[in-house]
Amino acid sequence: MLDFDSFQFFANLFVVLVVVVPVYRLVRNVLARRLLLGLTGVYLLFLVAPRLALFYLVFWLLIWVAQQVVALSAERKHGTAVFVVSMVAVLAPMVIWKIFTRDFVIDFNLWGNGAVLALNRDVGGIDLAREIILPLGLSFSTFRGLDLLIKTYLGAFDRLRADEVFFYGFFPPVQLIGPVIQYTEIREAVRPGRTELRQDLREGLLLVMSGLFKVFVISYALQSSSQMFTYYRSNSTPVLWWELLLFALYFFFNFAGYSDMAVGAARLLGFDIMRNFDWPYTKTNPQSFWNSWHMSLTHFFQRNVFVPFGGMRQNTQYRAIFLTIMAIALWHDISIPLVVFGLYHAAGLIGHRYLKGKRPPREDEPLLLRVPKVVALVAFFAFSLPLMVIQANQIVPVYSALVGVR
Amino acid sequence: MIRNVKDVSDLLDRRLGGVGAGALSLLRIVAWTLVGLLVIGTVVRAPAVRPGAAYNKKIKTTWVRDVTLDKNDPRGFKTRKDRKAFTIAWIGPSTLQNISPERYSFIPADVRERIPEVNGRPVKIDMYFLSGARVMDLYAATANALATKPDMVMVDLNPIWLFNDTAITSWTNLNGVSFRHLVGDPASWPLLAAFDQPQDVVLGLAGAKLPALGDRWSYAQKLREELTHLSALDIPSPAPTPTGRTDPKSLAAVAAMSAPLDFWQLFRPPADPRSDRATRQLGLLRQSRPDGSVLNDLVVDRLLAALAGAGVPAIAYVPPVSPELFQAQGADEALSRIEQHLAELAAQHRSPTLVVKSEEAGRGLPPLTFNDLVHLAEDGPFVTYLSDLICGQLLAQRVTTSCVPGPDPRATP
Repeated sequence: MLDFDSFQFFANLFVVLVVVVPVYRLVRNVLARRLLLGLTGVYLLFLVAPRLALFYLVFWLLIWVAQQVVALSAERKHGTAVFVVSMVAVLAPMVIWKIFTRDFVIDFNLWGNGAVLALNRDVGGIDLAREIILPLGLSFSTFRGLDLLIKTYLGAFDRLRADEVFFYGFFPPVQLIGPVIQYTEIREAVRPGRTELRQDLREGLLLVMSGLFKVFVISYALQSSSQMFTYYRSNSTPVLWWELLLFALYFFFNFAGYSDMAVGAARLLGFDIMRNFDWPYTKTNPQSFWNSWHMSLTHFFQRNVFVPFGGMRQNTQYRAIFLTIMAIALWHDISIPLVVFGLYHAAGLIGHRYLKGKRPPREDEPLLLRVPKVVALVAFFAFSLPLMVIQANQIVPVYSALVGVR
Repeated sequence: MIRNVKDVSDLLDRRLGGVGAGALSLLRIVAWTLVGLLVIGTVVRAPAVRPGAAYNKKIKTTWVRDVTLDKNDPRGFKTRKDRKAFTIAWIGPSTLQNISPERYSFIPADVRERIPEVNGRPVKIDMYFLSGARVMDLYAATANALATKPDMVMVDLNPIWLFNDTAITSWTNLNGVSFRHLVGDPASWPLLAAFDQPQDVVLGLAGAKLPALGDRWSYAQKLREELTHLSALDIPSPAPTPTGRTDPKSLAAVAAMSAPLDFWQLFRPPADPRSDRATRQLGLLRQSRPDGSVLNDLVVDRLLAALAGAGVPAIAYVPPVSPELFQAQGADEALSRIEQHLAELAAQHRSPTLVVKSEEAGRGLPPLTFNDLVHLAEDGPFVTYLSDLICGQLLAQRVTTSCVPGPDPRATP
């Protein structure tokens, strides 16, 4: 339990889309289109567990209320205070989950089911039969909610109507594993006639097939590499490095595959949302790597951490890089291994930025020079991957085994 | 250079005359996909599956077989056809077992010892044995069993879980395979909407026609084995077991749980966990809501409707529970309410072919020996009771003119 099979969500999504895509394309009314997609999102969450659907209904209701309040008070005396309080309120569930994981997960399921049972005994009975779950998709919903509040505070758009927030909050393809879309990515595309159906279907299907290939052909074959974190004591250093590199490939193809499915599903509906990966393992430096890895999240932190903390200014750039990569690291989990992960990659990014300032790279780098850089960068990233999987007390033994010190 | 999906799309236009861009083109892709799946299913045969392998080893006669596949196998069951035999489909949860240090057996197998043939035909029992089954699982199994057109159906309704909505279903792998049997009954649609996932429906329907999809569990098992061999990792066999005590309420312990019910029972215990066993068991019984307020009612209703309309002799019975339970105050009353509610539901499905024994079977029998609350340790008297019930029903239905169960082979003279 607690290990939710993401494919189950996508399999349900694709089956539902067989009905939803034609209906959505036939409906010309924008409000009806928003409601259709929002309700589809709610249904998909209900299939995971009714308690999850209820949780997000409350969560997005709060975001809608917060957005109204932030919009109304933005230009007033206490506008900033209201904005900060709203941000804290939206962030709170995710932060509590990351810090008090055990209690949050247990109470999330207990209270969630209690609430569903109180609302309807039959639906509560259905909920009791569903798996015990983590608050799936909470990070991605939190980031989308924060993005909405920040943009509202900055005046990027006015107060959204309830149906607009409902549509954004429950946009089906991105419910579970992102990407972290911005409202502007879907705001206009919901209007009929914005895209060409044939092109949408073809590109959407190609993306979905690409995702299925990455997940079921490549990453499925590499899945057993994750066992290295259990059996590192009984294996030699070269074997562990080999498995670590395979795990790095598994990690990428699995995540990128599901992202492709999400982006492809959105495309089938006529939404051209931003892709999440741009072949990061072909990059030659840490900056390009992070600009091409989980791009929607990286861009979210670039917009909301890197730029506000002076990333574009000479004298504050290192601080901004440090804070941005630490935020990205700690998003995964607030734990010692992830702090080390953040420090490790902050050192890589700051070191690269420093060297780049001293000696700017050539633009037309020959292949012979690129290949060793790519290999070195993949190895550099792979070396940090165990930190995303292991517990604090495993750091020393795992890394000792990896460097050959037993 | 191909960098994104638009480049692929352009390439398809340039090199392959715009494949995938028109409605006909998409239809052709779908058609070729189906042909491909058909060919794969024909050429690459899935490894054979043996249902209930572990349990069947313990059954001495081959006339009684557990037909249930692995709990993750979406095919659900695998039955054998034998037109010469008199086939009884026997559906039940763990209460089909007789468990004692001296003898482990299955009640249907012990009944078969008493009734080896009907009308000169050898009795064959297909046992739909679902350990940990809840009422929806029994309904799904019954629907599958009826589709095989047995000569008789027996359903074991464990009273502890019959109207207990803390777990209505646990064998979710049956969703797909039972959908096509249940969808013909509009009254069951709310249950399908509640428990079936859209992917279950599509894969269940497609899997019936395309072995490449239907046998996916076998393919996955085989592939996993092959991939494990390819791994460079040295994995000790057997794998080391974790040492030290784990907090039963830790997140790791929750993650290791095998069913949602384990979670609910741990964090919402039906009785004080420190109380004696009878009190804890009573708590479990008291979780039942035999008042028509839970979804279980609809499941039991449709299950009885399916049995009533089966057109073959059918018996639904409530297996005995341990007398230890009745030591707790209020236990008898709680069980009586369950029996009464089952009788009320059964009254709505009167049929000459259906017998519903809503009273807990132990009430009319000499004292029985139990392994725990619901599992018998010595099933002799209960087997006699069931054998008589079966013969009575077969005679009443005129399936046979003579049916006399044999004596208990283990009875002391």
